Amino acid sequence: MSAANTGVSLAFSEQPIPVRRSADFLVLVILIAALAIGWWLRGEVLNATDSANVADAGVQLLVPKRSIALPNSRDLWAVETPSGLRVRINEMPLPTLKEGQADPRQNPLVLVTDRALEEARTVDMFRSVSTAIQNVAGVASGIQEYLYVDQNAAKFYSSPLRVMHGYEVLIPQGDHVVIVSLEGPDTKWDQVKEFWPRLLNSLKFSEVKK
Amino acid sequence: MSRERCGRCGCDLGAGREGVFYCENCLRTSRHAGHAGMWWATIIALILMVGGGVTMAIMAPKLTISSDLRLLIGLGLTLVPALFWLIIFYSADKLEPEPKGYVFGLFILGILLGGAIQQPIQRDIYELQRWLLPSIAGGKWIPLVGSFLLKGIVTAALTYFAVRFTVMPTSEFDERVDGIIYGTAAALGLGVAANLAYLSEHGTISLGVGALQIIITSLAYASFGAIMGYFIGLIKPGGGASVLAPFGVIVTAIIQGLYEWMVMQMGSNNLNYNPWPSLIATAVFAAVAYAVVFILIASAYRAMVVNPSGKESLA
Repeated sequence: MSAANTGVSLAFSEQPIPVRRSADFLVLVILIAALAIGWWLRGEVLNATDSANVADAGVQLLVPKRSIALPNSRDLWAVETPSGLRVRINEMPLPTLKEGQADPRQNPLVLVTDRALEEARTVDMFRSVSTAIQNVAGVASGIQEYLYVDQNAAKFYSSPLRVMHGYEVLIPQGDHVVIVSLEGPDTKWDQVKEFWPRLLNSLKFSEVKK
Repeated sequence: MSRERCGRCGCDLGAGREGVFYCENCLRTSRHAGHAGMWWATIIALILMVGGGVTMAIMAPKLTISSDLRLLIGLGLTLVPALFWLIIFYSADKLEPEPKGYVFGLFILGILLGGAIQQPIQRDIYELQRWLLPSIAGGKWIPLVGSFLLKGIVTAALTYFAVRFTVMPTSEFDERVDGIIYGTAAALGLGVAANLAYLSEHGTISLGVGALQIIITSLAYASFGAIMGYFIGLIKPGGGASVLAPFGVIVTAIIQGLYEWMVMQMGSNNLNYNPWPSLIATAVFAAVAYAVVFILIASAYRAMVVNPSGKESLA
């Protein structure tokens, strides 16, 4: 039959030749099985964690698997994942209570403000995006979302800025405050948001052996 | 009882069977028709593409090119090699060339399936770019198995369904080699979608090794589609068992999985990243796959040749 004569495309004008449906079904089964196993594999990689014990700060927590210690960081303890996410632990003394000032244990946002001012003096273009109070490991703690520019000062104007975006929690412990941060390049913000609740839930504290 | 006649000259080939068959004389004649010219055109085009890519890789760091121009060059690099491979594989079907509209239509369908199904599955749902990397997944097995399942199987299955629900039921699909031609067209479309997704993600491309990688990716996808198409050809005109379809999907997926794994593995030394070993290895791999495809085409032709005495030729 000529398609030109009928004005119908060849594909629809010709008599179809039967093809076995079982072949389609088998391919579909393989595709679905591949997608299901692939989903499990994805979960295995993305949700994999290692537990870490930071004896100097008396903190136990979960960190993303295959994180590597950063020995030269300015932190008390820090690790980084291959994808660029960092978990940092620091300490600061609990501020002395002054007259008329809120008790940081009752209102941890005071700690967050102190911390933000301190960070603004230490890193480039630090900005506190939002703050909140949350109960972490049974202690009222201050949480802040922040941004800063992680950049070698010598190359500041000659290369693209690497904006770091993260969360940190400030937890009063005795006479000091433990600060746990999770941050990453701004492009990985989704990963930070995804892992942050797991990190918070994994936090446990113990006596610091000095 | 019906008699089989040569699909080209009409000479008597003996007892009738499913599909189109040819006499040895017609096969010999078609093989020689424009043979030398086609090979020269292929070699010259290959030299131009690879030479251009290598020149770009060497010269790119010294050139100042606007991002808009880079994007245009990137689009050209995505489409031109794909169309080139499409023409090469199409030209291999000498006995009874398929309707150009069908072949080009499957190429476009491949792009659409890639953009609407394959890329969203791989990038948005499975987020392969986040975890299917040796540095993140750790070891070699997860990247290898992940590439096989989520890149290989998905590409091969989409190629199969694209051919199966468009040209396969028509009477145009009557030679084993047709599966190879249509499979190549569909897979090349999927490859273009993969390269376009890369471009839209990065906005622009590195004119260095990125250009060469795009050219090699096109050849690799063409070869994967051709291998899948070979199995499709065995089912319908060849009268093979249905199990050949899933078997073809798995074989094609293993080959693509190995290819993708090589791309990842050899370029993953993040401290001293050197893309050249990966590029050379994948180019060699794609070239071998390309050669295998032409062996499959020759084999498909041999299976379609019948001696006038009525016996199928196995020579």
